[in-house]
Amino acid sequence: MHSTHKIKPLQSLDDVMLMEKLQQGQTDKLGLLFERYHKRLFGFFMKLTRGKQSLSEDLVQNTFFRVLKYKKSYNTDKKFSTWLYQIARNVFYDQCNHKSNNEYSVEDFTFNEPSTTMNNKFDEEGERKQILQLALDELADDKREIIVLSRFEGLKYKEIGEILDCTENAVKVKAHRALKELKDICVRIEKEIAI
Amino acid sequence: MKKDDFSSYLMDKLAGELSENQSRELDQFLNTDKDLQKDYQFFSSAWAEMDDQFEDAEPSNRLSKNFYRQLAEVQQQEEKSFQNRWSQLREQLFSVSPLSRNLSFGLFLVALGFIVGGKLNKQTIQVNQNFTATAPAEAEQFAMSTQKIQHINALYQQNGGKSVEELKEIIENETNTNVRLAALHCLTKQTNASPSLRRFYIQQLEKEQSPLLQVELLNSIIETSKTKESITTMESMLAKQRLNPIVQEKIKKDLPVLRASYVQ
Repeated sequence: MHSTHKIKPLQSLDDVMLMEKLQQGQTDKLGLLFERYHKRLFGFFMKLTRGKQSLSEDLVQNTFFRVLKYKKSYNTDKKFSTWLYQIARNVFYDQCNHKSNNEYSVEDFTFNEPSTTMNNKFDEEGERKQILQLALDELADDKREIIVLSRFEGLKYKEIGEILDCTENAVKVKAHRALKELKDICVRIEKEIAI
Repeated sequence: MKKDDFSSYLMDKLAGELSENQSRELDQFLNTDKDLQKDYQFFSSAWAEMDDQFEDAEPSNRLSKNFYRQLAEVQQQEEKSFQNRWSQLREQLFSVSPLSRNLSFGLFLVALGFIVGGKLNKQTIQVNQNFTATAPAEAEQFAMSTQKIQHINALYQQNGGKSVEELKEIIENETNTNVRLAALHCLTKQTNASPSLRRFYIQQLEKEQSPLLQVELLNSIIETSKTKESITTMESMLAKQRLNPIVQEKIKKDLPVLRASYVQ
């Protein structure tokens, strides 16, 4: 007879235990969570901010201190990394929308037009990758975000659905639409380069 | 595969999560639409080439340094906050609010009442002890008085005349009023009012201090001694300022009767 009790992975269990201790007032446990997740979050923010290193580091720091601030709202039945990504994307969008303290503006994350001198540097493969890079930079934040989450963060669609507060199928539909927009941008850039 | 399922199948295919059967269904579906097939080819290649789009950048030391500095600040603030909370709690516990001040004052008064009451209670106990100490003496006196009254009754039973002097002595010298009353009663009932006895009544009335005996002597005088001397004595008593009101009232009432029956 098989037991129906699910054993949590050790890593998740440790995260939950650390969060429980953090909730009990052991603030130093935030340091352990930071050591465990700060590089991963930094990579996530680097992709969202289109490679803004200093900004990404600030966002990582803000994310962890928001974890500390809202530690009581964490449900220990849920996966910590999912909750962490929810906070991280909120930090990112708050930073974008924070107009009164606009150290970094939305314009910082928008697409920069390719210079005409770049044309000469493209070979066929390199040109295709460069166009893809430009298209990803130009992609709207929400579409860029869903591609980053589904392609680079190693998250299941169900987990992404929890982060974005939507169903697994809705995540797939959104990801598909993001790819179609990416394709449209690529096509437009190819035409612009060709002219 | 339905057209509505294309997004789901496509994304699962790109994520490598599509089963073989579903993968075949997707291929069959793509074969029916050339545009979708072109899209799929773009998506697949773009998906594969995205690894090159993002360099694996490492955060600088600044991140860790800033994070731990801020964490230390937060911990210091929490420690201060804890100390402040403790201070507030201590103030709340030990501060004197108007209500608690009044309550304390009330408790102080109650305690003071207990202390004073305890002292007074000790004094009462002392008085009771003194009373208890004097009670045997009074009981002894009472017993003696009873014996004397019984003795007077015995005299009353005896032949009259022989005990007159003894009764007169009791009336003159006895300290207990009841004994003297018993003796006077016995003397009045037992003996005939001789001239010497009438004078005794009048003389005794002049010097008697007890109102009870004064009233009883007045009765004896009215009954046995309707003389001028009796009238004079009663008039002189009325002239006294410190005469008992009852005795005074008795004399005022008896004096006219005595005057009317006075025998020249």
